[in-house]
Amino acid sequence: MASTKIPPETLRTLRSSSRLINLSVLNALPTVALRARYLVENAFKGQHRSLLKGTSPEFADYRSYQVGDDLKRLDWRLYARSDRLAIKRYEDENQQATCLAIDLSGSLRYRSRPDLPTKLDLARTLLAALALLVRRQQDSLGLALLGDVSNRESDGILDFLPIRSSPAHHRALLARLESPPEPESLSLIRSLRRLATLLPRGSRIILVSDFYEDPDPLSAVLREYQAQRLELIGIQVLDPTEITFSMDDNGLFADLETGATLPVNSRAARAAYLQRFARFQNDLAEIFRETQARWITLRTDESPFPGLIACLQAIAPSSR
Amino acid sequence: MNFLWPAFLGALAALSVPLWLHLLKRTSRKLTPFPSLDLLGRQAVRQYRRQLFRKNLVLLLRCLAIAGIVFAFARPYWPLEHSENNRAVIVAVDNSASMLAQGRREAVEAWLVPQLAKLRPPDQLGVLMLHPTPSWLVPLSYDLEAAKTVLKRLPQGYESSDYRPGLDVAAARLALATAQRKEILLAGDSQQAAWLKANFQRSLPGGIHLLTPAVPAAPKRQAALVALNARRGPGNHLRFEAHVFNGGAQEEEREITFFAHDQRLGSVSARLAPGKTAKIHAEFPYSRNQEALALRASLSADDQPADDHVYVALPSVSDRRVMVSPPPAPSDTDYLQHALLSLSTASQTLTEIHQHPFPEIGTPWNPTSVALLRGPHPFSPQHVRQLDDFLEAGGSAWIFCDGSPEQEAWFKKQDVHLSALPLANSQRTHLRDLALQHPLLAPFANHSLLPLLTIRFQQGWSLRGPAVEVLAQWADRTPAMVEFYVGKGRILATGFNESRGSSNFPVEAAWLPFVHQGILWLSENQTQQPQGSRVSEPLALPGAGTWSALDTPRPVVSQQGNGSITPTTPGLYSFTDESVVRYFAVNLSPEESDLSPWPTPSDFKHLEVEETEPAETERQPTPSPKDPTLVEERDTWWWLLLLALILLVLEMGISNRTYP
Repeated sequence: MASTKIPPETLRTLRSSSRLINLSVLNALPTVALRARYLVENAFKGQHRSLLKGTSPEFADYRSYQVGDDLKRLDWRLYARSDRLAIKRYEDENQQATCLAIDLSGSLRYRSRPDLPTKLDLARTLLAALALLVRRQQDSLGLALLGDVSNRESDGILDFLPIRSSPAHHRALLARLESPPEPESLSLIRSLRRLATLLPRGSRIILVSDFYEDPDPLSAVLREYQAQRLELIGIQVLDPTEITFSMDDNGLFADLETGATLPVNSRAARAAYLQRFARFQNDLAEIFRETQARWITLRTDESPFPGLIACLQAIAPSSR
Repeated sequence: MNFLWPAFLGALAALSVPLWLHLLKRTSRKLTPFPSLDLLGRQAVRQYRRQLFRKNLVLLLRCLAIAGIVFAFARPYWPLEHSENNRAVIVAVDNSASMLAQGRREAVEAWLVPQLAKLRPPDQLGVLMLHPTPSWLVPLSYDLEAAKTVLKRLPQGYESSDYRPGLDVAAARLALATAQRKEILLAGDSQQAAWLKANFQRSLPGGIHLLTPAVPAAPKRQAALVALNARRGPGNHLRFEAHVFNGGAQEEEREITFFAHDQRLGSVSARLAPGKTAKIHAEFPYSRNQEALALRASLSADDQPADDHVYVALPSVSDRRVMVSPPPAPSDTDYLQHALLSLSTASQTLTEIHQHPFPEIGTPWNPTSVALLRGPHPFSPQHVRQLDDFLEAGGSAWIFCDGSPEQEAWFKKQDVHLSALPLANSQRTHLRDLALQHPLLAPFANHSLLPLLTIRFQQGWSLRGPAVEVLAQWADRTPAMVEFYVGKGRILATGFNESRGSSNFPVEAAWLPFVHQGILWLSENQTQQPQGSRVSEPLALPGAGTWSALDTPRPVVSQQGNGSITPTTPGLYSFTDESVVRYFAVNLSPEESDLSPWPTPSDFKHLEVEETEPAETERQPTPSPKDPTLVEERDTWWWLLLLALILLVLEMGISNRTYP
């Protein structure tokens, strides 16, 4: 039974630190790596670097002590023997393989205002920040870029980095997030099924998407994941306009995924849209609840910090 | 379609405003990206199309509303030239008593029906009632049915005939109408009396045609009771003198029956010569002949039933007592006494007036009397107390001013300032500004005021005061004849007297009726009343009360009278004022009994003048906003405004449910 967890005082600190994030500064940073670093550095300014703490019955190896690590986990015998500060690592901590998956479909490239990031930008920043934190923990990570192109056998996954923990692997991961390919289409269901075949049983998948899929197939996939003991953390990224539909545009609306067009009077259609959107969100929440998967919603006009904390909580073994 | 104010059409440029706004807000052609259209669904398409339709509809309504307002202000009208033979017809209805003669009304209706049947829209039709003054039953309009409905019930009347004023009114209206043919249909019997005042040399406006039915045949049997005089005889008897006119062509024997308060007194037979008026005398015992009496004489039926009855009302013998003060200069002729003598004896057609001797000094004056006061004598200290008591008790007095110090002093006490007119020896003055509605002068106004206005006065006194009502003025606009009250007493003060040296009034024809009317009017202040009047003549009433019919040829609804009333039906009436009942008689005008038609119907054609052909430039005259015909045709502008209002309301309703 894993006992690693984020201490409550650390969580409180993190939540209060989210106010230090300046979204306009964050969005103005040119690369995903910089945005991730800005996010992490500002959020954890003056705090212990180690967020995941805990013990496990089965010892795996040592790692160097970092400021913020629980002193209880310090191997005092080793310190007495070798005058070296080291922390014991256990099986539960380093055996949990985590794969970051990102939906690259057209709908993720939407933003309602120029001062807002696209949903994809937010997704990439979030995953990069998460990768940065995990790398500091010297944990291993994988990456799956979900999407389809017609001229190659992508089968729902445009690019896949296996789970590794090396610095080179981490740089490659950030490079993929920096310039993801643009898919021609995406079937999230097919991509998730394909991803399940690439990951070992018991892996954790952090999927960032808007989840615009039919609820029934999605529910089926999540049940398959549950059966395969694949832990899914769904992070839904939404633009504020998608939530409030506060727009005055009339005329032809173009679907960013399919390219289909629809004549719409936004004010007239608002009530019906909001009704349908609420129903969709309820269905999505119900699916994730039924399959015991975590589900987090982030808005592009708000700080991504709550999502980051939620991911960290989810990654912490005790939270499962 | 033409416009009265075509310049307003320039405001149609305002249509560009909604069009510009519409184009400004029109949906741009750029594509709006959106993550997932699935959540919008097909319903969004339906809503979009519905909103698009509403927006276009709102634009249309706005444009129509603006156009409607602009057109309304431009005042469109449709001249009726599109109808080549349209007619404007006014039916002038003769509602005189002569139309009640047997067969006359039916003949007129039979003539009128085919005339009206020819009318078709857009012809115009109006109905004008001729008597007593021309009045519109239906103004000239395009509503043919409204006029025809009224004509189906041609009003029946007992008025006197006079066609010309009504024809002038109808012609003046037709002259303003736009129609190819303008006609006056004279729905009457062309009775001679009706045309007597018509001047055939003065034609109607050009282009107006006068159509009349065939002149009816003279009645075979027609006699009329044109007057009835009744007097109380000795020994509880009533004496009658009935004037019977035989308008028939042959001599005939007729029976006249006399009634008092519905009690048949008796009948007499009379042989009536054609075209002559016979005076029939009768005397019957009647035990209550000292009371107020409502009397009727009836003739056996003939072709004209309306004039077979005549009515008379007699006041109680206690009424209408007159006492005259002695003349100031006994050597002169007493013209006042002469007038009173004439009134009491010479003419039986006038109301009875009973003269009583002037009271001695110290003897109280009877307040139910009318005192005729002249000279200084009645205003001397010996009499003035009785005079004041008499007036306080409700007595009425007529004061003939002579400027004596006693009179002047008494007037001053009543706050009336008496002053002599500054007339030189040869200078004359006259009356002016007569109060025509006053009961004293109204009978003169109904006939002629000339006899009063032509009197020349060598002497005169003006009567000024805060409480006097001026009945006539002198030429210099100072009061010549006034009415005022002292206590309950009514006073008529004339700024002249009855002496020949003061004016030529006592020897003029107007003197006798003036004295008679003055006494009658003053006597109404007590319990007395005039004997009667003619149909359509205003009748003075002694105050406010209920006017009810006692004996009339058709039902008359009771009504409240206040000061005067104008009866439209002959008969006997009662007037109840504070439980005092007085009787009034109203008779037909005797002219209506002469049913003979106008002898030369060809004269009617003299009234018509062919319309001169208008010059080319005059054929389509610029419409004038004051032309009442065009006003009727321009009624469309109200409808346009109403339509614009409805469109605006619709626009607001739809616009509020339409998203931009």
